Amino acid sequence: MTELSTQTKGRVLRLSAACSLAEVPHVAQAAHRFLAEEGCAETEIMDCEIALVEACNNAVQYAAATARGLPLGLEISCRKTEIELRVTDHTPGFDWPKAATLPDSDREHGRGLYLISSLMDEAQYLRKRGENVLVLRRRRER
Amino acid sequence: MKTQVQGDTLRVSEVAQLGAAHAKPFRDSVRSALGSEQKNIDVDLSQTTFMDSCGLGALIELNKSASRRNGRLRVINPQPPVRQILELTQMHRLFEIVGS
Repeated sequence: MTELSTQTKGRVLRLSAACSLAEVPHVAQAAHRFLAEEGCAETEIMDCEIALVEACNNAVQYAAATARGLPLGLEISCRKTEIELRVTDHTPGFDWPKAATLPDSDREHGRGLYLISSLMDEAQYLRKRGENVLVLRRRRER
Repeated sequence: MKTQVQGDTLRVSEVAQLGAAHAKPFRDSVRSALGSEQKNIDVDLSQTTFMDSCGLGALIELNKSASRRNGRLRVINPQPPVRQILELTQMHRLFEIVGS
């Protein structure tokens, strides 16, 4: 489900996706199209796409069993100075690390938060009752 | 996905996506295509348009499979989005990245 709206500070893409890993590439494609239409640079698009995919993967993989029927909520705002991504999950939540680090090179897991932190200028994880919102911001290139 | 045996190397190509939904089937298919003669794995990522940290995990597992046979994994021709993930996570320390 996709909705496009315009706010005073720029256009916003709102997406609602089933809580399934198979949906994540489609979300990434929709984000890619939207950011390209907004005139974002290829590097900006690539960074946002990777961060969004990792955020969605976490939201699906750690969703509470009772919340698997609930959709993921996504919002992408494109402004002159920054791109903002918001991912709403229904996981138990976790404490966002102060500094995400790479695991040992031969470990198969644990690189998602590192990728997000490396590519985004700002990350906030807002824990709420029943849902959490990850807010990611990346400054625009000039 | 296509696999091809070239002597002691299993060459894997035509991998469209290597995301969380595809990582495990990809890893299992490659492992089952490995014959007793093959110790090296070449993964051609020139046609891979999507990869995430789970896809990376599959490559790390295949690298371990090759290492157990005293062989090595190589990643061939990754395109810019995939190459960026490989570089950010410093995968060149673990396996060789060739081309592009």
